[in-house]
Amino acid sequence: MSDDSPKGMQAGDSDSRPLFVVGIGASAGGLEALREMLSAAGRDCALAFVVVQHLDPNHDSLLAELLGRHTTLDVRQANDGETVQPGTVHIIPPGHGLSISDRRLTLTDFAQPRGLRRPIDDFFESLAEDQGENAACVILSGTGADGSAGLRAIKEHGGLCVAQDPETAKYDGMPTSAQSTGLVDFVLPPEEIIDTVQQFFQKATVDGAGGQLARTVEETLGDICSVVRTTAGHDFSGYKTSTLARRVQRRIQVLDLPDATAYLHHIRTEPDECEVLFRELLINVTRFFRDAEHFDKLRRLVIEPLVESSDSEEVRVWVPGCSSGEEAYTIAMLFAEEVRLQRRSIDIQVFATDIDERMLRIARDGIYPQAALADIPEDMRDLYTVARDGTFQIASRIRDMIRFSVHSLVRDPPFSNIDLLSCRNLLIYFDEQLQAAVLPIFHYSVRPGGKLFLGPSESLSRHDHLFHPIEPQARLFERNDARPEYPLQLRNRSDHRRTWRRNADESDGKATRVAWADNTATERILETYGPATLLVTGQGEVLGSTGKLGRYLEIAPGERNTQYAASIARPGVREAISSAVRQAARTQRRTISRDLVATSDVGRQPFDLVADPLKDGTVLLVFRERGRFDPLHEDDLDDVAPGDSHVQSLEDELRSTRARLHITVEELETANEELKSSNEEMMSMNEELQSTNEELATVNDELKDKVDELSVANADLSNFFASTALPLVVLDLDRRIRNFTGAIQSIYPLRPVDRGRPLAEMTCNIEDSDKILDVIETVIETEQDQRLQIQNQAEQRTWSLFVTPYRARDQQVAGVTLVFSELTDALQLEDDLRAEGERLRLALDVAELGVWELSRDGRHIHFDHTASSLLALDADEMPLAAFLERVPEETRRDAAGILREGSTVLPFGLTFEQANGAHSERSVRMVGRRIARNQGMRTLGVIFDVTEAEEAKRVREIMLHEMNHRVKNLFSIISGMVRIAGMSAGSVRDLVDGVTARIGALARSHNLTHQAPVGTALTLGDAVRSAIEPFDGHARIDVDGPPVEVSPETLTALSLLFHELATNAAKYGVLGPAEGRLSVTWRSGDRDEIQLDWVEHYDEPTVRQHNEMTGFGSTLMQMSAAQVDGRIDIERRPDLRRTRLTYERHS
Amino acid sequence: MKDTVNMEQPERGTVLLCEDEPIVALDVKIMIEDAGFRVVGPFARVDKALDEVDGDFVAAVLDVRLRDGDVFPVAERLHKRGVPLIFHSGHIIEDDVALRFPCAKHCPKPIDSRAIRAALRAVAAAS
Repeated sequence: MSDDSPKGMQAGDSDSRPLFVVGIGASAGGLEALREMLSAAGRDCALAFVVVQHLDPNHDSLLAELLGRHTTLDVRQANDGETVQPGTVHIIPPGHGLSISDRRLTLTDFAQPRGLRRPIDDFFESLAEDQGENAACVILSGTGADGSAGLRAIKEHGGLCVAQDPETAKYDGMPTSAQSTGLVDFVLPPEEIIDTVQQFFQKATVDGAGGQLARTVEETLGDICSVVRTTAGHDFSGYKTSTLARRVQRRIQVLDLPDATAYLHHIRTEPDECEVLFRELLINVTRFFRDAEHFDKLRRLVIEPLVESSDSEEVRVWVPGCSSGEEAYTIAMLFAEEVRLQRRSIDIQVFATDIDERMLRIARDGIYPQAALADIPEDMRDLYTVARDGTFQIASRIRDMIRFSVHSLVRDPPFSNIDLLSCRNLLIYFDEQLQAAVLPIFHYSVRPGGKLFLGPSESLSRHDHLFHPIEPQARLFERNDARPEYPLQLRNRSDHRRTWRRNADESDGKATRVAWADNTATERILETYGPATLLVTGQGEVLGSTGKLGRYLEIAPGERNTQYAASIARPGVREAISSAVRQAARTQRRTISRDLVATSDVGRQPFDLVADPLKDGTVLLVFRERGRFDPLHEDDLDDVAPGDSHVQSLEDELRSTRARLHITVEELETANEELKSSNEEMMSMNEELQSTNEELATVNDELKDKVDELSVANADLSNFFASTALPLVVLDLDRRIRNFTGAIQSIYPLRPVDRGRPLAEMTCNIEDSDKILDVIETVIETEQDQRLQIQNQAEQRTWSLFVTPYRARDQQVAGVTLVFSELTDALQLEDDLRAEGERLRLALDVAELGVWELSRDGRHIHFDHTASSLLALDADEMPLAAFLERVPEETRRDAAGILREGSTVLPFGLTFEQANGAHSERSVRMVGRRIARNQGMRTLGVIFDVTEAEEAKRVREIMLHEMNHRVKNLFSIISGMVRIAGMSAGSVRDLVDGVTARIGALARSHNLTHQAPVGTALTLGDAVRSAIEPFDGHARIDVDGPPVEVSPETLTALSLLFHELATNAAKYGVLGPAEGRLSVTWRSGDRDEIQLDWVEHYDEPTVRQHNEMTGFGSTLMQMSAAQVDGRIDIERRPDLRRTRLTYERHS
Repeated sequence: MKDTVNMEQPERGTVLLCEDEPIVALDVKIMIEDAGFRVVGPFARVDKALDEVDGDFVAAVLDVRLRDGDVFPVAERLHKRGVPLIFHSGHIIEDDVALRFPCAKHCPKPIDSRAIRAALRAVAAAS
C-alpha cells in the first residue's frame, strides 16, 4: 500500500497489448477443475497460464498430456528459463517449485521436506512481484491452505484473485481458505473463471487509460468512507485520497459497475461489500527489517542503551498498525539479540496492535513464506526462525515476547509508559488532521525519554515540540519530558463513535491540553502545590493523576494499563474512594467525605476526599490534607492495624479471590499454551498428511484417467484377439499358455481352460510339433526371432511359424509369441506362378523376345538379358532419357511421347533402327502396354528383332516394282510385236503364227531366267538350245562353244534373234524343207568380242535360198543385234548358209 | 514395208530414240518414222546415246531405264539445249521425272501410237 505510483496502469498504457499472467494453484481434485476451467478457453485467449499443482515428486506427471486433450490452448510442461506465452498453459514439473521473473519461469528446488512445501504460495508471490497489476491468481480444488498467503501478495500488488466456488470443488480446503482471507475478488465455478478474468483485464486496460472513473471515485469518496465508518466502525476519511481512490476503483472494476455512484449505491445496500472494502483498504506491504540501515541505527541508538541501562525492569515496546507482524518481530529479534550479546536478563514486552483481526491471526502464527527469510540478517535466522517446508516460523521465544491484540490507534486508549514506539508506514496513509490527532497519543504513550521510530517518509510536521529528533534520517525521535497529557477526547470518540470527528474539531479540549502541556508553571503548581488528585472513570478505573499520592495510594498509577483506584488505595482511603466515586457518578454532584485517615507503612494522614463528577462521566478525586502527617511509631503498630470493618473484610476476601482467580487464569493460560503448541504440532503433522493425501489424490486422478485409457486399449486388444484370423499363442517362460486367438484351432485345438497349461502337453495337428518346441527353446535362449515352416501332411496345409521373444515393460524376456501364417495358398500360388513364369520364359527365349519395364516413377527403364543384348547395352537398367538418346531421331519424339505420357493406356508399338555393335544396323520393335496393378500403373512390354522381316518386306516391295515394270514391258513388246508383224504378214494366219511363235520364244527365254538355279548365270548355250528346242529331231544339230555368260538384259534380244534364225531354218532351211545339218558355234574373240556362227549345211546344193533380210524377221534380227551392240553378217553358199553374230560381251 | 510411202514425204525433223527392248525399239522407231520424222537410234545404252546427243533434234523419245543405267544424263544434256523430251516408260517414278524435267511429256507403256504421235506433233508444232 505504500506504493503510491500507479505503475501498473502506466505499464498498461505504454504496452499496446500487455501480457496478463494467470497463476493457477490446484491440488487434490484439481485435475477435474483444471479441465473444466481450461476447456472453456476460447481460441483467442491471450492470457498466459501457469499451473502449480501439488505433485508426487517421484512420478512423472501426466498432467500436460491429460489437459492437452481438453483445451485449445497450448499445454506444456514448463522448462527452466522458459518465457510465458499468451495462449499457453505452462505446467509445473514434478519435484520442483516454480518462480517467475521478467516473464521467465525458473525451476527451484524445494528446501523443505514434503508436507511443508507451499509451491503455490511461492509462485504467487514471485508472480505478484513480477507482474503486479497484470497478474491474476486462481485457487482451485485442494486440501490445506496453500495459495492463501500468495493470494495476499497478488492482491497487495494490485492483481486479481479468484477462487473456485467451494461447492463445485472436489476438495474445498484451499478455495475456502482463500475465501476466508476476504481478499478474493471472485468466487466462481471453474468454467466461468477464464471469461471473468479476461473481462476484468479488458476493463482495467480501458479504465486505466480513460481516467474518467478515477475522477468520479474521488468525488464520491467522502460518502463511501462514511458508509464504511457506519458499518465497519473504522473511519478512513482521514486516509489519503489517492490510495483510497485507487482501491475503490479496483472494486468497481471487479464488480463490473459503470461508475462510482453505482458503487456507492451498491455499498449502501450490501453490508458485505463494506467488509470487503474495509479489508481491501487495509492491505499493506510489510517486510522484516524493512530499510535495514534504519533498523541498524535503531539498534545502535535505542535498543543497545535500553538493554544496557534497564535494571531488570520491564522494557515496553508498542507497535501500532503491526499488520501481519513483521515489524514487531523485527524489533523483538533485535532486542533478543541485544540481550543475548549483553548477557542480561530483561523482561521485554512488545505490544503489537492492529485493527484487522485476520492480519493479527497471521502475525500470531508467525509463519512466513520462505522468500521473506532473505530479509532477516543471516546471524539471526538460525537463532530466531524455525524452517518449515516453503515457509519458516518465528521461534517461540520471540513470539512469546509479543502480545498481539486488536486495537485501534485512534479509537482505543493508548498504552502507556512505552520505552519505544515503532509506527512505520502507517502515518503516510493518514491525512494531516488524523496525523495531528495521533501524535499526541504517541506523546502520551511514550514515557519521558522514550523513543519514537517512524517510517522513512513520515515526519512529525507541526508536532516537533513533542519529540525531538535524535537521528533525523532514520526518523528516530526522543520524547521530551513534557507532562504527558491523557488524550481524553479519544476515549470520547470510542464512546460516541459517530460524533468523534466533530469532537476532534472542537478546540476547547485541545486548548486545555496545550495549557497543561506547555505551561511548566501550571505543571509545577499541580505537582507541588496542588492537592493530590486522581482522575477515574465512573467505575473507578484510574485515568490520570497529579500531585503526591504516595500517602493515599500504594502504587503509582500509570504502571499498569488499567488500575482501579479502590484496589491501590491505602487502608482508610479505599472505602472512601469506592463510595465517593459511586455516589458522585450516580448523582453527578460534588460530594465530600470528611475526617478520613489514610494509613500507610510510614504514618497516618488525616484528609477529606472530594469527588467532583465531570461532564464526560469521569470523576475527579481530590485529596485535601486535613492535618499534619503523623509518622508511625513501632509501638503504635497495634493501633493502626487495618480496620476490621465489614467492608474491609469483604474487600480482603475479594482481593484474595481475585488473586486466586488470577493464578487460575494464569494456570489456564499456561495449559492453554501447552495445548496450543500440541495443537500446532498436530496441525503440522496434519498438514503433512494432507499434502501427502493431496499428492495421492492427484496421482489417483491421473491413474484413473490412465486406467480408462487402458480399459479402452484392453478392449481393443480383446476384440483383436477375438476377431483376428491370425493363429497366435503367447507362452510364458515356463512354456505355459498365457493367451491365444480363436484362429489357433486349426493348429492347436485349445480351449479357454488350457490357459496356464504347458504347450508341450497339448495335442497338435502338426506332425513335427517337436520342432516347434525346439524353436521355442532357441528363442528363449537367444532372445532372437526365429522362423519355421511347418506342414500338416494330412490336410496338405503349410504354415509359416514366426516365434518372437515376448518382452515385458522392462525389456526382459517374459515368454514367447508364436504367430502362424498359413502359406498353403501362397505356396500353391507360388508354384503356379513359377510354372507360368517358366512357360513365359520359354516363349520369350524361343521368340527371342526381350522384356522391358519402366520404373514406377517413369524415370528409368529396365531390360532383361535378351533385351539388353538386342540393344547392345551393358547395363540392364538405364535412365529413360539416356535410352531415348539411343533411339534414332525420327522416332525419338514418338518414343518419348509414348513412354513418358502417363495417360496412355492402349497398347503401343514402335519400330526403330538400332546400331547393334559390330553388327550392321538392326531393326527392333518395341511393344508395350500399361497395366493397372495393385501398386499402381506399370508400363512394360517386349522388344524383338525385326531386321529380317523388314528386309523381306523391302525385297518384296522391290520385286513387286520390278514385276510391274516387266509386265508393262511385256505388254509393250507384245503390242509392238503385233504391230510390226501386222506390217508384213501376208495373211491373218501368218500374223497369228508369227506372233504366237515369237511370244513362245519370249516365254522360253523367260523360262530360262526363271528356271536357272539361283547363283548360276545363264550361258549363251542355254539361249541357243532354248531357241532350237522346238525343232529337235528335224536335223542334226551341233551346238558348241565355251561357256559365255549372258545377262538377263541381253537374253531377250539374243533369244529373239535365235528364234528368228531357227524360224527361218524351219521355214526354208535344214530344220524344214532342206536336208542338212545345223551347227551353232561361238568363240570369244579379241577385246571381249563374241563371235557366234549359225551355219546351215545343205546336203544338196540349194540355189534357191530364202530371201533373207527381208520382211519383219530380218528387221527384227537387225534390231536385236543392234540392241546387244552387235552386227549380223550373212554368208550364202550353195552348200551352206552362215549367219554370223558379233557382239561385245560386256553388255 | 507399208510405210515406205511416208518415208518419201518431206521430213519433219530428227528425233533421238532411246529404248533397250528390241521389239519395242523397232515398234517405236516405226511409229516415229510413220509420223514423218527421222530417227536416230534406237540406243539401248546411255553411253551410245551420249555419243549422238549433240545432233540436231526436234524432240527426243526416251525410255527411262536403259541397259547401263538411267537415261537422265542424256535427258539432262538435251534439256539444256532446249530439246523437248518425251518419256515412255513402264516404271518411271513420275514425281522424280516431273521434278527434274517439268516440261517433259509422258507416254506410259505399252505405247499407244496415237499418243506418241500427238506428243511429237505437239512438240514439232511448238518448235
